[in-house]
Amino acid sequence: MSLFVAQILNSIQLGVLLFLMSAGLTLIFGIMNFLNLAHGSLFMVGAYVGATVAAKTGSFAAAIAAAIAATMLLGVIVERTLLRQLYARDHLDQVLCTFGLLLIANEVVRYIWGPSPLFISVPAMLDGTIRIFGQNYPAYRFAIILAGLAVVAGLYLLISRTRLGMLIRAGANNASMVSALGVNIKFLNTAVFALGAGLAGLGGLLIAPLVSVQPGMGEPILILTLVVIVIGGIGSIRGAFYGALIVGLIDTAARVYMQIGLLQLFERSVGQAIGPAIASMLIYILMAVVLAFKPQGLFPVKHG
Amino acid sequence: MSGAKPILSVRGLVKNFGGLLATDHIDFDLAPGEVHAVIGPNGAGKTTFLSQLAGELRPDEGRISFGDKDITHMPVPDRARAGVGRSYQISQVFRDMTALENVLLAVQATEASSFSFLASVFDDEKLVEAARGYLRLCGLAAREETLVSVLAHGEHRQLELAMTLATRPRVLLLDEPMAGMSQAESVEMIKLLKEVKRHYAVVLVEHDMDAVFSLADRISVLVYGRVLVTGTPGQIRENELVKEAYLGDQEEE
Amino acid sequence: MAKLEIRRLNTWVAGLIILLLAAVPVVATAIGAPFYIAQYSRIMIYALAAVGLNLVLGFGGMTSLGHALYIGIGAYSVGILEFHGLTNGWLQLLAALAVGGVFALAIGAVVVRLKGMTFIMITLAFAQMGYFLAITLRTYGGEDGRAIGTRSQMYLFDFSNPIVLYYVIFACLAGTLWWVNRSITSRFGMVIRGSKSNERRMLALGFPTFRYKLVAYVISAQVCVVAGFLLANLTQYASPSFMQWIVSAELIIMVILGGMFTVFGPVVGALAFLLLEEWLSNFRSATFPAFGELVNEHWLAVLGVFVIVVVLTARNGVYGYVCRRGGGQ
Repeated sequence: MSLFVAQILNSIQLGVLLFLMSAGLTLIFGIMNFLNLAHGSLFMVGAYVGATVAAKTGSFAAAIAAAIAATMLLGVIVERTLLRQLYARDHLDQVLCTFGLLLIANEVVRYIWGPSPLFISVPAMLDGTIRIFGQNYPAYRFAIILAGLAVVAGLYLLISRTRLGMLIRAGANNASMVSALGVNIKFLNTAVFALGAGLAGLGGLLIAPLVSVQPGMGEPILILTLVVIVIGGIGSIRGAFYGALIVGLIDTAARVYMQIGLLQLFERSVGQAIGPAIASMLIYILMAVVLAFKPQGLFPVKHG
Repeated sequence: MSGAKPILSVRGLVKNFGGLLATDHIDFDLAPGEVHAVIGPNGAGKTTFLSQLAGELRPDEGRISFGDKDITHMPVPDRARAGVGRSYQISQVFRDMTALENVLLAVQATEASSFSFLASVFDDEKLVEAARGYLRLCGLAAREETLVSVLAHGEHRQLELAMTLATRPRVLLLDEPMAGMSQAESVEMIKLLKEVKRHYAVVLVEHDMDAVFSLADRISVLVYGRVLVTGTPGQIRENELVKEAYLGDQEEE
Repeated sequence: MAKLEIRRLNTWVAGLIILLLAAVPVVATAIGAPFYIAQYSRIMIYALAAVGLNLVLGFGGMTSLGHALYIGIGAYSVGILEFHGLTNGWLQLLAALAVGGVFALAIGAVVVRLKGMTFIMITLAFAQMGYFLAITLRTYGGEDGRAIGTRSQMYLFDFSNPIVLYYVIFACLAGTLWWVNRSITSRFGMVIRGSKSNERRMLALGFPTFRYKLVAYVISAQVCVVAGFLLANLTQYASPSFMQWIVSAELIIMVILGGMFTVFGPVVGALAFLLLEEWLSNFRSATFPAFGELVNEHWLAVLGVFVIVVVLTARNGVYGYVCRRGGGQ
């Protein structure tokens, strides 16, 4: 039972993190029709900036603010200078250019901070365990879950209650129409990109105390994010939410339980050999299955 | 012509777009060898109707029969191979290839298989001669080696028709073949279609009334997705309802 | 979008490069610098993979970010079978093509139906799946991969002789180039080109485009499988890093750099890319030593800038430009 609770909570924690990454990215895909492979780099920058500020000031709160501000600023700058040129181009060009940015980002980070991993400690206040459903669970991880849910709520309010949110929804539904209605589409694009960047930076900072902050840390999370978006449906925040939870569940709990199950079914050596193998393929198999039946994703945006 | 079994037959066709009933219970027949024109004001649903016949749109209700076969849910390539050929209002050609290559592909489509990896299509005399024949028929013999992206609009329309004919269909679905053509080009196209129509059954969607009245054996008038009336060109010309619904629209232009 | 014209293998640049490549072992032995043989063997292997990729990328219009997976399959067929004592190269190759074929059919069946962004992302995801799968194979080296003790026994050729291996790779590359060149004007090639140009019309003409695109995908994957097989023999190593998605991206860059609408372009692209990589990572500057340090330490960033510049400016690639200048079609 204890394993179950811990695994579920871990799944939600990963899900929340993936949501932070995929909410912004799915909007960028959906509204701007732009395939951004450098999103993981924003995640990485958030982690680095946050870690540095936390080390210098000792304040985790300052680190959060710095991470979000830095990534949003970086996002705005890159979007207005380079990315704007690419919206009209085909996806291949977008892939290649953002890949170039990814390479540059990794090297810049390596140049400034060096190749060794950076460490940031969990804020003192959260450095312990709390009791959830009768189990001890790391307080910090739980805090991530709460923070993530707060973001979900905030994003929901933004999208459904504000003017910007309405523009975003309209843009996701029919981008050319929004432009034809005289909305400043350039501003909307920049705003959406900055929002996505900030969310990614926040995600990077939140996870930083739990992993090693190093160049290239954004790539693995980027791949998972792409899977989430494909499963959820491009341009759909609801899809990103459910997709993130599903992927979080599969990549955490299902992995563990599958390996346990396989170890019981097969003898130890076989189980230990194929367990991790199949577990690592689960998400991709899920993705393939979803695509086979619903190529638009599970919660596609209905286009106007 | 009456009494002969229709080569194409449509019953109760319905297509709904959200709240818009684009096709409202249409019944339609095409007899072998006839040209049955479909006319109507803008927005009447002519292209929607044609797209359902061609298979690019699936009807919500109704039945389309081609000879004895029910083709209502048949996918586009299967329908094409069964003998339903379609030309588009906006030319759907291969812009990065030559005119000859375009028609060659169309001719090649009638072959059983294209899983041939080494032999060049240009060495296949049968294919090349057939393609050249269709180019000649449609007045493009001199433009054989020209890249399609360089051709004039009127030539695109000629190529469009050549490609459709090259697939040797039994039924032609022509979507505004005259679209965007100058007066002189239209005259040429009408002459060509008169030549061609002897060999096919044709559903002709057109705005150009000269073309319609000189080519059609039968005319159906479509208004708001319904067939208002079907009759011979003479009957349609005199029909009061048609004049009201359709020619009234023309006056607005 | 760049001008869509398919160039044929007909400029003297292509011929010259082929001649030069054929002469490398002779020259290298003569000047006593045999490492060039290995270097150009590696370049030709990636050129082969790039030519394979171009079948779907340039001619088919399908942007696959996952072709490195098939290089990995080719390499691991050698690595895994050799581990179990099976060193017969022909059997290894057969196994590689069988496994590659199954994966390509399965993945292709899913992705070929998809359009645009989704296609790209899915191919990327599947390649990563292969990468993670290889990492979990601890018996075969896991994350580090494994060294291959004995090269594939081909019986007709001795792969332990670097010059023999070089010419086998050369023959594979030349043969593939010849075949691709022929297939452009074949019925199959015409269908693929037509499907890229206007798939809607292809369907309306009566072509079941899905099966042709799937076959093209499988063929292009198998070319990469062969490249992987050769790579394992060249490096005597099979590693998950062969399958990283960065490798897939690098393959695409090679194709773009050389010219994706030409047959020979990817070869030029591979040459340019790998030689550039070599040059940058060993960059020294007498006058500005600190700058030299910077470049060779962070040459990936220079590469990144280079890629962006190329995409924004020279879309037709180097060889594409040459073809234009040379007065081709």
